[in-house]
This record gives sequence, structure tokens and C-alpha cells, in this order.
Amino acid sequence: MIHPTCTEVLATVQTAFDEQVVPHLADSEARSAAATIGHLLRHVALRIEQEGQILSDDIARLEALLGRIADWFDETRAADAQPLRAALVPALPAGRYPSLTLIGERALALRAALVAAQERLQEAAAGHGSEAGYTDLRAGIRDYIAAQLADEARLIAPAFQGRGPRR
Amino acid sequence: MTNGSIPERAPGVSAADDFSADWFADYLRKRAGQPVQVTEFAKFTRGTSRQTWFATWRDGDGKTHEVVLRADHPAGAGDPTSLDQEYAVYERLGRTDIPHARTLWFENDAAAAPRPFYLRERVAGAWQVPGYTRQDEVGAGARLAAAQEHMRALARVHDADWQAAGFGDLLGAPAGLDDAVGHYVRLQLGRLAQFGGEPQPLLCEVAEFLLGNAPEAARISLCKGTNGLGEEVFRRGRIVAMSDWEEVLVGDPASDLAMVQGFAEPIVRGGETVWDLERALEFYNAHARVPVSLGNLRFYQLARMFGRMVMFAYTTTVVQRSPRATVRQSWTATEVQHWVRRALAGALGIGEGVDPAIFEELNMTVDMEAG
Repeated sequence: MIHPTCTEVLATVQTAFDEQVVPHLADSEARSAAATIGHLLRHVALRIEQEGQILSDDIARLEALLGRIADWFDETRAADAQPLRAALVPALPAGRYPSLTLIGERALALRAALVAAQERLQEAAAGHGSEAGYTDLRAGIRDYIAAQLADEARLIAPAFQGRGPRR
Repeated sequence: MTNGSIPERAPGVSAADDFSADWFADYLRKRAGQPVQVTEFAKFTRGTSRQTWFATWRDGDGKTHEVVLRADHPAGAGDPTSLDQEYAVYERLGRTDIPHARTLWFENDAAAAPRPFYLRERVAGAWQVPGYTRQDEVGAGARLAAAQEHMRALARVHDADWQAAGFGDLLGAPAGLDDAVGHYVRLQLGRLAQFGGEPQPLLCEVAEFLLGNAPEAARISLCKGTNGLGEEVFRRGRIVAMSDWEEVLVGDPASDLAMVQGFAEPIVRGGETVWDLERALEFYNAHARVPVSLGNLRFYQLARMFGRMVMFAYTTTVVQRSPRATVRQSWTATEVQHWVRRALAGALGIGEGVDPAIFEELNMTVDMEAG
């Protein structure tokens, strides 16, 4: 089955919910929950369309950043690069459909490696804080965070912002 | 009872097993040994961290009791502190002169209730401030009076003898004036590690910033946490009960002034600004035994957002582990968490930041729109 797609089915659910269910709700708690559900349905629709690519981009950014940090650890001996190198070994099994769950787990594992690397970098600030290589990496981490939040915004702002009470 | 304990995973319950007027009448009958008549059992829809019901019953002697029932959501509370800690906080408030609702009892018998709950007295009043939303001079006067009342109440919280009341034993406390921020960051990161929140590079950056720029506290106090409009009970212009103590801690009182809701916004009367954050602080300082500096207040605006992020990371785990998590918790873990992340990152110069107006949007409810 290709059509109707999840997005197309979900669109009919949203319409039916808004037009056939919400107007008939009298109870305050039910109307509050319905308001939240309406927003979350739009959010889910956006995630169906965009989350796979967003996570793939996130993984690519993380791999590039962690590679740079590992090289710097090796070069300066400021910390052990081995845990980072281990985290960078591709984890998605060949020949298996890269489901959202799988690529989400991969992104989370890489983010965990980044947090561990951040802690090592913060410990190294006293000895290396003024070096260009160090400050470049710290700026790179901030750029990564900004990019990740910008991606997240694509799934949030259009679904919620300016679209009425949330609860 | 544990200090700041993380609640156990709530056992699954069926919808039929949830709190209801019939269940409450039966529960009270068994407890009192005589029939009771439950005349009200209404769920409060505004809260997000826990569930709240307003209940009224008449006992066998015809006496009317008005209470508030508090319980975790079926899948767990939205914040990483336990219901028994909340009960213990209210119990300790009884050893101070801080206005609050008196606790009645905690029920932990799995055979008696869908899940643990406690009852506290219901204090007559409302979270709404009459006239608050009016855009005229009357509205400005109502907002100013309520804001000043709130500052007096916060001063009372901070002046309370937290050690004598047992809050240090319950919540832990900084080692000294120069440890207030360190204690707060350790507390939050400890919780994050304990409940296993998602790894967040932003949190790591913020923690470093907070520890590296920590101001000394002017004193160590009981700090309420969430406070302001929507969190306190007003009656005839006075705060008669301070509610919502989920984010309570012992620390720098500036942390409370950093998260005042609705009562530190600018108020203009006759074309003149008569109230804003700085004036609110000045008013507070005239009533508190030890003044708070604007610098510390600004610092804790960031620190408290960091704490919020840890709280939302916890809410995310609640949604992750149970389909009985509420749709409100799903919303908190998605939209609310996103804006707070953006605001926190923006404060550190990371990314685009966020328009503060979004937080007013988040606070809107369908009832407000209807009204």
C-alpha cells in the first residue's frame, strides 16, 4: 500500500476531529484535552514528513564533529579519543531498513558521545582553553546545538505557534 | 521518605480504576466507618505536573468537608520529585507562618486507591485575580495590588526558618553562600542521571556556564519554585495559600524572584510605568529581611530554565515508558520543552533565541479563550 499515505490518512483524522468531534465537546477537561490533541496531530504530521531527513542530517553533523574532537584529542593528548572512535563506528546494520527507531537510537548514541566529549573538553579548558583548536571545537559544538534546535523548530513552530490555546 | 526521591514507575491501572466520586465516597465510608455523601469531585484541568481534584463531602454528623486530592498521573508525575516529597513539604509548611493548605493524610494503600494520593484542606479562594486582564486603570490597579501582595508573600517564604521547619533534612541544602549555584546544578544533574534523561549537549554547555559564573547568595532560604499568577490562592486581595511547590528547594531566594509568573510584568497607570521587574524587586527588598540583587535575579532566570529542562527531560521519560501518560505530558515533552531549550540556548548566544511572547501563548487555556 502506498496511498493513502500516513500523512493523507492523518489529514482526514485531523479534519474529522476538528469538525465532527471538537464542536460537540461540552466538558472543560475534554475541550482542554482536545485542544492539545489538535496541536499534537499537526506536530505528528510534520514528523512523519520530515523527521527521517532531520535525524539523518543530525547524524552526519554529529559524526563530523565527533571526528574533529577525536582528532584533537589524539593530537593534544588532552583526553582519550578511543571512546569517540568507538562511537563513530557505523551502527546501522547493512541491508536493514533504517527505521526512525534505528536512526533515532544512532543519533542518541552519538549525542551521548558528544556529551562525554564535552565533559572532557571542559576539563581540558585550564590547559588548552586559549588554543585555537580548542576554541574552534567549542564553537563547533555550539553551532551543532544551534543547528539541532533549528531542525527541531521545523517540527514545532508550524504545528503550534499562533494556533490557539494548547490546553 | 527520601530526599528529592524519584518516584517509582507507577503500576498500570485501568480507566475504571481511576479516581472518581463513587470511589471517593466508598473510600471515605470505609475509613470513617459510616456513610458519607460526596457532593463534589471535580478535576482541576489547569495543572500539568500532577492531578488535582476538588472534593466536598458531608460526614455522618452533617459536617461539610472541602478538600483537595493530589495524585500522580497514571503514568507518573510530570516532574522528577515524588508525591511523598510534596506531602512532606506541605507538612513542613505547617511549621512556618507561610500561608498554605494544611495536609490531612497520605494514602499509600494500593488496595484502597487507584494509586497513592494525599488530601489537604481546600482553602477558599481562587488563583484568578479579579480584574487582572482588564486593560484599563482598574485592571492596572488590580495587577499592581496582586503583584505587591505576591512580593510580600515571597518575602515571607524567604524569611521562614527553613532549618527549624525541617526543609534542609528533606531537600538538602547548599554548603554555604558560595555553594548555592553548585548545589542547584548538582541537584539537577543528579536527577537527570537518576532517571536517565536523553543526552543533551545544550545542558552540558549551560551547566558549565552556570558553575563558571555562579554568584554568591546573599542568604540561603526556602525557595518556592514556580510562583506567581496561577500558582497561589487569592481571597479578597490577599494570598491565603501558596500552592505548587514541586520545584521547591533550599537555595538563593533570587531563584524565586527569577521565575515570578505574571506579577513582575510592566504596569502602566496614568501613562507612567509603576511596576516592572526592577520595581518588583525593590518592593520585595523593602519587605524581606535580606535583599536580593538584580544580578543574582538575572542569573537565576537562566539557572531556573536549566532546572525546567531537567524537569521536561523527566516528562519525556514518562511519555516514553507509558501509553497512559497524558496528552498534556506529550505536549510538555514536545512544544514546551522546545521553547525552553531555545530560550536557554539564546541566553548563551546559541541559535536564534525565542520571542518571549510564545510563553504567554503557552499559558493560554481554552477556558480563558471562552471567557
